Amino acid sequence: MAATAAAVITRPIAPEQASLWSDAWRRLRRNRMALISAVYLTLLVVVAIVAIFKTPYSYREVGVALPYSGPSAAHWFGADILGRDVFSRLLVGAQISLIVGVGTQVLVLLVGVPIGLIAGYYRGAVDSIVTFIINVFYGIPDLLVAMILLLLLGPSLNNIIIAIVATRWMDMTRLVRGQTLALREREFIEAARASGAKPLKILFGHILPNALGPIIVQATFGVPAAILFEAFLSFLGIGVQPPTPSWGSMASDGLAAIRIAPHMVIAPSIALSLTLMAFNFLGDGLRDALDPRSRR
Amino acid sequence: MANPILQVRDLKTQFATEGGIVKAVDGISFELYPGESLGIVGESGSGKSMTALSLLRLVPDPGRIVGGQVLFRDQDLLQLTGEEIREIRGRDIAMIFQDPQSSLNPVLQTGFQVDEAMLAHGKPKDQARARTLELLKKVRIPAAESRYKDFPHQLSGGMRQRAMIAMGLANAPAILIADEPTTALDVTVQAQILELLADLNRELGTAIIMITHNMGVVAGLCTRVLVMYAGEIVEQGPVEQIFANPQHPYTWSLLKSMPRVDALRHERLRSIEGMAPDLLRPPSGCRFHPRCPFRIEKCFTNEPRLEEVGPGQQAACWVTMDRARKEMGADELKDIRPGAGSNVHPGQEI
Amino acid sequence: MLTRGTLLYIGQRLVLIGFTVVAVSSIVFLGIHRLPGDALFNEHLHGTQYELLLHHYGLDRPLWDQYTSFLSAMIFHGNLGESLVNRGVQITPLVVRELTVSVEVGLFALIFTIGLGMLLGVVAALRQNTWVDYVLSTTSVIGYSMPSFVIATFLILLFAVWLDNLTQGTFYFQIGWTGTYGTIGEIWLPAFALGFPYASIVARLTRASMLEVIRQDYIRTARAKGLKETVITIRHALRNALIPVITILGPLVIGIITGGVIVENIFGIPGLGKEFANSILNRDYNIVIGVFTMYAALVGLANLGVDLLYVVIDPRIRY
Repeated sequence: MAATAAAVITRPIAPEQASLWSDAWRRLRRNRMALISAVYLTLLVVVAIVAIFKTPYSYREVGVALPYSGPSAAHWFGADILGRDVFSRLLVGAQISLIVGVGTQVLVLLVGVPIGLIAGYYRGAVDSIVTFIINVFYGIPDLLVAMILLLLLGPSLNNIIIAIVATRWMDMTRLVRGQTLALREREFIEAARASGAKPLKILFGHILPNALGPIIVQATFGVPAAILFEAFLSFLGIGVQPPTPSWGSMASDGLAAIRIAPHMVIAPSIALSLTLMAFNFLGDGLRDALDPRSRR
Repeated sequence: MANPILQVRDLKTQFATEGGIVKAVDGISFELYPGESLGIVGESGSGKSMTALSLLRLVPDPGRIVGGQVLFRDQDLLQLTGEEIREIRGRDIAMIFQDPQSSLNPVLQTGFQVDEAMLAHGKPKDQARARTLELLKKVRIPAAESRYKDFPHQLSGGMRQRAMIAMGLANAPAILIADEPTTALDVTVQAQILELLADLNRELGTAIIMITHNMGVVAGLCTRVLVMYAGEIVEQGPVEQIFANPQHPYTWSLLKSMPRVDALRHERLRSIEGMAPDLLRPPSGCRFHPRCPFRIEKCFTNEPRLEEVGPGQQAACWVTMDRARKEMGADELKDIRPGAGSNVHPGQEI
Repeated sequence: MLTRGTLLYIGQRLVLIGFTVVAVSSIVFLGIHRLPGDALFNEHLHGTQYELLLHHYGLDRPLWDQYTSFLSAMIFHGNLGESLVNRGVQITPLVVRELTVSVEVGLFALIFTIGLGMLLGVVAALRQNTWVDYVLSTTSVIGYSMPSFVIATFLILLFAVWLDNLTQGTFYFQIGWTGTYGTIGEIWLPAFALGFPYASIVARLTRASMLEVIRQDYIRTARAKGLKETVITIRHALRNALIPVITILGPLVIGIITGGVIVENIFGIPGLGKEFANSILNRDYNIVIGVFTMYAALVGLANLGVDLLYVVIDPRIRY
């Protein structure tokens, strides 16, 4: 009996880490769509970075191919109205989308998190004002306001980022505020307060780390929303200006030539759709993985 | 006795679950006579509600009626088409449910929902409305005209249940099935509703099948009672007889666990010990044996069938209370904890 | 239903909308008028011509003056001014007409969205876990993940290009717009493109909501009464399943309004969205202010409409 027992037990099993993050990581790993999306997005980022240094053709050089020509060995996605290589322009467009997507979220975090924390923690008059402002912003259609902002500031990549942040900061703020309101009632916050911790330390040392999960998810969903927003603006001609390509403006140009050169509109449309879907699936996966109540 | 209006034969209803097949109703048979009030009593999980739902083929997914017959006026309800059973529902056999708050549609006027019972069977709108107002008065809802327009959330619990009763009786059905109609109500309101049902039973001659877990309700309203356990009928018979002389140990335990006004001060209230049976893997032999204070060896292996134990009274038990009383004596019986395993050793044959 | 409380509520909301419209247009007005003066005209003008033009539009007056006359013209006369680019064109009649066009397209899209979305949601719920359900679920994910111009592109490819090629020119969708209000043949595709992402969202929500509703006790009661299945589905289940859908109706309507900007531009529909984009590209600031004011009013009224719809559907809600 003892001999068989000894033969079976070879070495002690490593204790399972109980932390939220490793748990979440494990759950995320099992989500196929999220993994595929993560792979796709990583590739996209890599390709976009490489494109800073080298693209098959210059994105702005006119006439490297026959205008309107379809996909070929030399030009994987064909050429546009001015004979520019669509593939190269797609790559630069990827840079634009990623810069806008990530840039807006970084700013949204910098703006929304502190405001949300303060409003949720101190409540009272401060919170009422913040909530009122949030509701006002929610009442106004974001696209229209962004368009006017760009009219006033002039269309440039920076201004686009500012315009998007100005119209969509409320989502993050509302989320952080909600999380803070809930977390501040928990015992460990009372304990921290009782032991004399300063509010700043409580906010950033205790509340924020616990709200990190939903914040990450929100930011992950915010990226495709921002990319979509920029695509709309560029589509209307108010976003990124030529010759800089944006998937939105490429689609707009391509739409005009849809009968003779459908590849011009199909390429950026597919790029956009895939990227947006990837972010959405990844966001879904993160949300399920980080939700401690999820039972999968 | 007159011919029964309802004959249930070997009814079997099952649920296919992940763990296996749950036999919620496992071969029960009984009769219902015109104008009588029959009680079906048992714990939750005994199959009493599922029996009622099976009669009208309202068993929810993933449940299925897998066998038996339900004979109503020479028709087997289980063999009818969907359209045919739909016509019977609400018109010849009506059913009211436990929680009137959730059983009434919150976005429709209460009066309209009573109308619907009649509209579903072809009555024209104005006639239905007039009759609804009559019915609301009959179930003793004050200010019926204005209550008609009220939505369920505007009525009290008692009024909602009265409205449901009105809904059930709208087409003067031969049978009204009431599934725990008073469980969700205040105690005082419970008494009123039961009184109402008794009066209506007398006046209209509608047969009532009263599903309940409360023996007190049965005592107040019913003339005959079926006691169900683990999907089977373990005892049935006239109420007075069963109350005076229950033969099945489960029935006896139920009665013993009822608080009684005439109990002696020092007598402790006993609840039935043990756990409700697992319907996925019901106990072998007699399903009550794990909780039976009087079991013998046979009870572990052989399932008893319903047998006559008194005039019109049947019980499914190898031992029966009569024999147990003879064996143990009245004093020892008083101290038996209902549901506790037996002091009688297996191997002892009575 | 139309109680005193409700009327009071409507009155309050209308006042609020009025204030919002004034506030919004003021902000835009002041924002625009902070720009350097010569940004207001596209041509290069000098001397007296320039000054005449400035005077004509009242742009040589102090800002406060301009603002008050703008406000009083708008509030008391409904006059939104004159186009800067197209001299002589009065803005108010222009934007009002374009508003009706946008509302026409928007309503088509909305009815389509709600109608189709709900229908598919109900079907998916009643046929839960069958192939019908899976197909609809997948389609709806695609629907709300893709930008509206991608959907529009796809539809144009399908119905205008490929169908044309396939049938040698007999059947195809003509992209374009005749007259102010277009024909049914011209409006269905833009409305479809506009509504499709929102139809997907509504379908998902309706499905989830229906699934919950059909498990409710009152559905069992309805069945026990002997009601027909269709009656139960429509009268009992659907009305309750609609309630969560109404909650997203507000953001949905705003989405259709902004989505309309894109769709109008793609299909050449002479609505508010096309005007807005054009006026921004052309730097016709007066029209920008006028259109934006109309949008503010539209959004306010749409939100009010949604809140009133709540009262109709759910009798437990009263103002």
